[in-house]
Amino acid sequence: MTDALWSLIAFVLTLAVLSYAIGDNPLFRIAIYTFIGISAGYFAAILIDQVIIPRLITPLLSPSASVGLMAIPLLLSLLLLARLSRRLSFLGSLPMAFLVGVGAAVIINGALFGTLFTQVRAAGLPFTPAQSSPSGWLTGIVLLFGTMTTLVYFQFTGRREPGKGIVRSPWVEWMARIGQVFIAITLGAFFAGVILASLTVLIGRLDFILQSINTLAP
Amino acid sequence: MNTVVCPQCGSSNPDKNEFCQWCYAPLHPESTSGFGGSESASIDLPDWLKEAGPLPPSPTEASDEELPDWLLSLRQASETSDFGEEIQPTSGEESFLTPDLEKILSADKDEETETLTQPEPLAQEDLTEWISRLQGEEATEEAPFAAESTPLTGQSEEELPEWLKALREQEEPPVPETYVVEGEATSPLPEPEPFVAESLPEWLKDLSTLSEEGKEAETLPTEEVAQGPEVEEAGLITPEAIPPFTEIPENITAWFEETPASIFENRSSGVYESTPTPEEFTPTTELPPTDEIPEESPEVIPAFSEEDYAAWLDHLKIEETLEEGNLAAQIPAFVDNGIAETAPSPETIVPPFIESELPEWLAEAESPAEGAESGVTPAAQLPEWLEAMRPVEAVAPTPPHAEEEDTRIETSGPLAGFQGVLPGEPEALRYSRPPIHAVRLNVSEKQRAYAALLESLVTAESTPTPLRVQKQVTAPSPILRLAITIVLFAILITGWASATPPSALPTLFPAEAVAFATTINNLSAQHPAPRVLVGLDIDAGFLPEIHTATINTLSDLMRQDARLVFLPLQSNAPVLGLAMAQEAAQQIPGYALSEQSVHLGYLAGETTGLAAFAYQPRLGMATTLEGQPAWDTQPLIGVNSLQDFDAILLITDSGERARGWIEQLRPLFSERPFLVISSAQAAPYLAPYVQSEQINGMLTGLLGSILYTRLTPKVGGENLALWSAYQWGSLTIALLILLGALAGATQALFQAQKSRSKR
Repeated sequence: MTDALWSLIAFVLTLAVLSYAIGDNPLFRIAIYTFIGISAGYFAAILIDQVIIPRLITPLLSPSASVGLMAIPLLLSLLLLARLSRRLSFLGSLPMAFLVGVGAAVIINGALFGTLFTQVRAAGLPFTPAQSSPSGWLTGIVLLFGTMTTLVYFQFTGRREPGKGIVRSPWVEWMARIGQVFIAITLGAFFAGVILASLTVLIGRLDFILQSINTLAP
Repeated sequence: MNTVVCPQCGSSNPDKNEFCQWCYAPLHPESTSGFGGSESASIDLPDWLKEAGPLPPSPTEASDEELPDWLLSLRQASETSDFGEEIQPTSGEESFLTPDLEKILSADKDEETETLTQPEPLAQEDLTEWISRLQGEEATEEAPFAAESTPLTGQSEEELPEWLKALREQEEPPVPETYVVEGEATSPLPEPEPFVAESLPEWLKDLSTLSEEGKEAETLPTEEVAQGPEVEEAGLITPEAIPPFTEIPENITAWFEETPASIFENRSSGVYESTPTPEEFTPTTELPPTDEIPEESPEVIPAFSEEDYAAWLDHLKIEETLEEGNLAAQIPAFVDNGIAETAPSPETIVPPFIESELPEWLAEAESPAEGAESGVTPAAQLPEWLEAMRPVEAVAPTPPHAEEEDTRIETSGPLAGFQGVLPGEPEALRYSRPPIHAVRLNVSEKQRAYAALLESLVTAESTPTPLRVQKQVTAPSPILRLAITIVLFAILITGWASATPPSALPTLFPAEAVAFATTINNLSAQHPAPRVLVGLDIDAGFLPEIHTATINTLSDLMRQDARLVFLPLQSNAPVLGLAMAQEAAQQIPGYALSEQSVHLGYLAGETTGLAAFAYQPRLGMATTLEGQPAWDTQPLIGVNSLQDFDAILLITDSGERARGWIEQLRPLFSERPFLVISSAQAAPYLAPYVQSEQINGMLTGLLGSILYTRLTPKVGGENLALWSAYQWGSLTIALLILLGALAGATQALFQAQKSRSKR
């Protein structure tokens, strides 16, 4: 019974969202507002239940834990709440600076050692003797050429000429045009992936609707 | 080449040279003269006289009509006497006295001549005797100076001037000649210093010689001495010939003190021989102030201008007129008699010293004397119109020729041989025009091009450019959207219902899919009961896409008795993880899900939380989803670091979040397999990591599920209905995109034709 109720609610909400095909309507809005509200509430409950209580409150209340060590995240959290007030918002700059600084350092470190260096090394892999093959060479040349032309496309340095704006040299202009083609292919691949993913989700919802109809139908 | 012989050193020089190349003397003396007089005259004259300008006209040249009445009367009086002729300069010599002064002197001497007895030619002995007594060098001291002078003049004691009286009262040896000459009689000397013969000038030495030779002629009258030809040759006049005076002015005394003795030496020769000595005219005249007399140029002293003499004479006559009564008692008798006899009648005398009847030029000449009397020299002030006409060089810091060195050398005169003598030529005559500089800039074509480019850039920056009006992308009409929706739904439902895909199932498998399936199925062979970290970073909306692949993968892992540790990174991921694990466990009846798997709590902080978990797993996530200590559970016993896991399986629908997993965990987990089940939208983003082997295997979307099912045959694994709908739906979407592109191109063509037709 409970599953049938939750299936009915899911069926109605799915139809309400699909009603956007005919334009913005109250059913769609109700479904969206419900989804946003439930998600926010759920997220808050998860944060309190999975983060604040086990990682801040419980250690503070635990006799074995170091109160002094836990006081630091507590103080930073309270200072972060000060941003709700205009007069005391400056107090929240310290935890924000800490978060931004630590986050930037982590991202930069991961980008360098997890992406940049490894991708540079991978660009030369097709030309290594161990992996050398006609197809590997061709793939490597295409990848290298595509990478170079794509980087050239984002080279905006040029000479400003009167009446023409910023003009790049001819060879840079041609390389940028080729890189633009590679970028278009990449964006097309991303777009195709998004469409296919959405199509799969739509097929899943249609499957759910058809199964719900079969289940709910007498 | 013509040569010119230097007149000074006799050496030969090229004709073109103006100066001797050996002694630097001018080869053409006439060229050095800056004045336009006769060449012979300018050559003969000294430099200072050349620069002084043309000589004044001789008295005979001046007509009588141009002279004032008083001067005419004086001239007439002088013509009656021949005494003036005696003091006229000898022929061929220049006299520095002006004709007026000579007339006056001749008139005064004429009067004296008439007062005295008729003189006879003066004997040499007489002259020497008088001079010897005057010098006071008589060792015998036979008679005082007053006793000797009395019979000569026949004057009474009261008629003598005071200075002469003082001399008599002292009754001392005769005053040395220098005492008289220098005019120090006004102040009696208590102890006259002995005179050194060497310090005397030559002319005085000559006089001393004469006095010694004629000691016998002591009683000769001075009148005879004054007329002697020897006196004329020596240029001397006896004291008796000196006109009477009351006292010597102080300025004259000071002038004599300051004047070097060499002046008087020069007077014995040259052009000054016939001119009166200072002793001759100082008693009767009042010289201009000493500050007007250049000390270092004795030659300039007699060069008084005509105006100075006129002013001096004017002043002299005024004094005589106003103090006539007082002077009468002091003037000696012989002078007084002479004046009385030669004085014309009052009717015939023209009052020349009345200021109202003075000529204008003479009256104006007196004004500077007034300024001099005040002791303040007024500063030179030019009128404004004259200041405005001054050339630029006059106010410039340095004149254009200020730094030029004057290399001209004087060839004659007292300054002969000196270099850099002030030229007689005015500075203004050597004015040269300032250099002319071109106003046009000297720039090259390249600089001109740069300047034009800079100007165009500045102009372009200041010129506003219109913003491009972007076309508003309008959503398709509701009918069109509804039509597309209906078509798409119909095709999907038809495809799902028919379960007949437009194409057969794929037979070629991507390498990452094969690697994924191989790694999952061979994981237990390398690590019995492998410990797998399952990362859940997926939204619930994309679950249908990866649901099949995820369930099949988890079931394969459970079949190998793997220990699964679920780590959610999204808020709803823990619930999805539980649901998928339970669904997969249903396919493996003997798998103990609660013991073999653990669901960690939500990992906050995204990338930062992943980094913390990668470096310190126990600190990064300490509790399970239920709030229990996570590291005490069975799957996590013995795990202290990330390397303690045998494999990592990431289930994600976002390429960005998958990149965070790879960047933070992969460097610390390089030796173990890293597998990914991703949505189709994240596949292009993760493809480079597959190429770089940072991802060892990957399943993508619905196709990945189908491929994994075909690689690991399972009963009922292939969902042909879903695959058929997916195929038909993909074709429909591709067709709709193509139709939309054609419609847009057609619309653009129509708009272009419309715009052309409007033009």
